[in-house]
Amino acid sequence: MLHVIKSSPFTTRHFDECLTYIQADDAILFIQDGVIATATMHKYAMCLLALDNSIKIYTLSEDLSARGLACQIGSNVDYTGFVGLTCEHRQLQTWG
Amino acid sequence: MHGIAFITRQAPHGSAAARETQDAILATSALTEDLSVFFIGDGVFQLLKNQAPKQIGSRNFAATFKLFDLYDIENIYVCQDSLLERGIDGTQLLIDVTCLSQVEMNAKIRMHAKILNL
Repeated sequence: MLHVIKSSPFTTRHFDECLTYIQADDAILFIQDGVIATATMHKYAMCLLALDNSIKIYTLSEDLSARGLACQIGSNVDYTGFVGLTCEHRQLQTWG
Repeated sequence: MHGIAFITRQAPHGSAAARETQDAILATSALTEDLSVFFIGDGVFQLLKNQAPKQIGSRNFAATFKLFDLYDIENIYVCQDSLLERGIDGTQLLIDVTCLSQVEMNAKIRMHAKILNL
């Protein structure tokens, strides 16, 4: 399953709630203000580092560079990669 | 007692809130010089250097912060605790600001007659 998070972990609870539902072999994609989660080494980034290795973490590169940020955890995907991820995973849920 | 305090707490580009707050600050500066701007929480992300929001269809309004000086907006405060919590250091910011602790920010805000928390 692909989980999509699009709001800052400092502003909403979507990040925390997603992490309580995530399972091995799932993936998380951070877009819009959600990219704050992987961009600097704060407490939420530490939560991501503690996840099972089978959980892949992606961040939308257009949203990172728009904000003057760079991804510190997981890998970058561009818009084409975003489409690729939605095809690759049989299920997707957006947390907000 | 100071005049007006603008408190901006939203990250840029996810919504128009941060840009519209900046517009309100600039508009107010035409009427009074007695105003202060406080960046709190995710609002500190607005001040990061090297933003390139054109590719997501957003305007690079961060460049306009450099004009604050020209508009005589000089009382600009950033919450040091918000920066620390987010792993950002002061050298990554676009303009010269005064970094204060959360306690100092609170005390400073309370010195204003009108407070706009946006």
